[in-house]
Amino acid sequence: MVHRTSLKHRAIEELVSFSFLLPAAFLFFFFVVLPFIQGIPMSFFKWDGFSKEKTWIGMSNFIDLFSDKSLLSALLRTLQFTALSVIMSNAIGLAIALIIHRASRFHSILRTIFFMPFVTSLVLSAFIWAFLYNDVVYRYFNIPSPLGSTTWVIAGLSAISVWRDAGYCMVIYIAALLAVPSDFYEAAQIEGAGRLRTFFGITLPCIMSAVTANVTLLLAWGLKVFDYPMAATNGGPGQASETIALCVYNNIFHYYKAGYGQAAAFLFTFFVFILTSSVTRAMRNKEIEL
Amino acid sequence: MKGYQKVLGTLVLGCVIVTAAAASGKNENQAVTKPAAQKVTILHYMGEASKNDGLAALVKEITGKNPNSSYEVEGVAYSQYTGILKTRIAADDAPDLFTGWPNQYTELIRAGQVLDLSEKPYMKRLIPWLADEARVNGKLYGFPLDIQLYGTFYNKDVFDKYGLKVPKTLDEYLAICETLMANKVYPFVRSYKNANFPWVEYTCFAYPMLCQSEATKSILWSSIAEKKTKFKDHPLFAESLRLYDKLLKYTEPGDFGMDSATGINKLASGERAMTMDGGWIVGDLYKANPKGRFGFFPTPWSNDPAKNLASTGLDDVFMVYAKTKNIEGVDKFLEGLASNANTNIWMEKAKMISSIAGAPVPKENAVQLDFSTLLTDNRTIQRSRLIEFSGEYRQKMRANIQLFAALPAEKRKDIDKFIQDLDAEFAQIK
Repeated sequence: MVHRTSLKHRAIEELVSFSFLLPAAFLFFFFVVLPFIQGIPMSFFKWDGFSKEKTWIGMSNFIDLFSDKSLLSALLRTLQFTALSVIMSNAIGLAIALIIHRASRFHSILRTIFFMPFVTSLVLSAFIWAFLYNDVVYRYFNIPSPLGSTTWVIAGLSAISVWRDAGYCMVIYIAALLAVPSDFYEAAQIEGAGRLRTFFGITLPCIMSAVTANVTLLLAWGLKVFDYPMAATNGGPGQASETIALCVYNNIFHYYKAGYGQAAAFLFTFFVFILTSSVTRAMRNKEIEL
Repeated sequence: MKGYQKVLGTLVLGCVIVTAAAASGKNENQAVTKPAAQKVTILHYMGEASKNDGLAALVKEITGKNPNSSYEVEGVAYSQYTGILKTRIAADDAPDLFTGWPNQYTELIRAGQVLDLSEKPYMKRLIPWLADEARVNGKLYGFPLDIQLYGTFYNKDVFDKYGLKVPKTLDEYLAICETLMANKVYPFVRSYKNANFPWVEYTCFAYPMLCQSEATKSILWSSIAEKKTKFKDHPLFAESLRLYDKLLKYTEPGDFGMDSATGINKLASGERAMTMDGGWIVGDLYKANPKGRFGFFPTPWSNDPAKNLASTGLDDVFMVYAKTKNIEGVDKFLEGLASNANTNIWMEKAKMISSIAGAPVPKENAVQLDFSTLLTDNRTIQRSRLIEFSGEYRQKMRANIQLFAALPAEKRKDIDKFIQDLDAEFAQIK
């Protein structure tokens, strides 16, 4: 009797706690999940995006995706952007965290400064850097803007992403570093381990959960990047910075191929899900319990 | 007590959500009131400050004469314009009036989203050949506000400083570029950050070139879009790219990050000598330097002066949403645009040439006078001789011309490879 009452009480507590998620769940469902579900049937039609008539074409859109060279090029560019962003944001974020994770007023101020770019909107970050590349870097150092080069544009856009996201990574890493027991470092010191050995043998394994979180998040952000190329280059020069998200956008809104663009979006969402799940699972295996 | 607090908190939260949802709905129980003035929504992509000023002045004037109509104007960036327009049409929230060239929105016209204006009385005031530019399948789908000329705009003070004269031939044009480079002045302003700029620049010489050739005029783009021919089947297209390559030799590397406003300022101030662009820059050029001395000439592509014509076409065209509920307000607006008084307002503010037959040309503006002289002397050629690309073809053509401009000089030399890649890309378009 006491046991049943206790279970019922716990169930009510869980329900009450869950109810506070309802507003966010409501918004997520109606603005993300529902439009996504509504979009799936569109991918089986030939549709220009605004006419009332649609033509059923079955799997044709999906089949055409795999032979579309411009889409495959956009995928490659997206992967290049993502790789650069994930690696550099994490490396720089971790490096800064290692330097300034200790409690002190000065480190606190530095943490705020390094985190500030993350507060800037994506579009504003793109505009700021487009200005910096051309009106500062080129004017004073004579280095042409990477955003105007078909070779360097992806690197140029990645730099914007790294500038913005490294601060976020830093915050996560600082929290993880502070949770590493000091006994481990004392033991390592006694054993005579050097800095590098200590980092790879103790620090990195202990903060692996933070690495997983950052890598997974930045991987997802990078794969769906839209704002930077849209605001800074509009996919140019030519289509040298056209990412998958921008390609989908162009198909739906500029090429009058809403059905095809929807199919690309659906397939790409599936691809992102598979990739991020695989990476997360692989990295989770390396985490240790503290 | 803790349990009660949680339940109470949940109930309060639930009430807030329900109230918010209810408040966002329409109140059906309002008393019936007198119908409000017709509100006509206008969506446009005019990025130039002078044109925005001109449009605001026109709206003020037309509203003043039509108190039963009000006009809500919304401007969006050109790069996002088509997406926003299509989204609003699909969402049944289309603007009553929107800017655009009918031949570039043929999909909208075919889907019955654009009103046929052929029988409207104000359309008869238009210059006939210009009205023809707004026809699709013989019907008029847009009201052009002005005539656009494409060619080279130059700073007369810079030309005077280096003893340069307006070129009549390609060799003279290239000689001017060499003289300026020798004096460490980059000849051209190239606002390559604007994705549309390379295409406009290219068409300043390519359209007169292609439109005068029997081999390419009227069929070049349309035969490619219909998959009857490829780019490699048209040698004159390759010639136009070779000429573009020659002119790109005079590009300052920093221009790839330069936006239109900065570019106009550089020309206005005399930091650069010329730009190949459309007449929409004239208003902003004079706004940047009201005392500036500017001129215009057709971009020479040939050493035969008679062949060097300025291409003309549409610029600001108003189209009407086919299902507009405010047709009275729309008609009043377009009638207003066609009136002499408002024509003068537009020409004065935006520094354009009016689309209305018989409208006088302002004499104080040198560029407008150059435009007028070229039109009067028949030294122009209509761009509509080449049926434009639309949809994906249009976007990809612009992207590829931008790509050509951005390529390193050594890669640009391989025109055949570029055309081969272009054909492969266009073959994929369905």
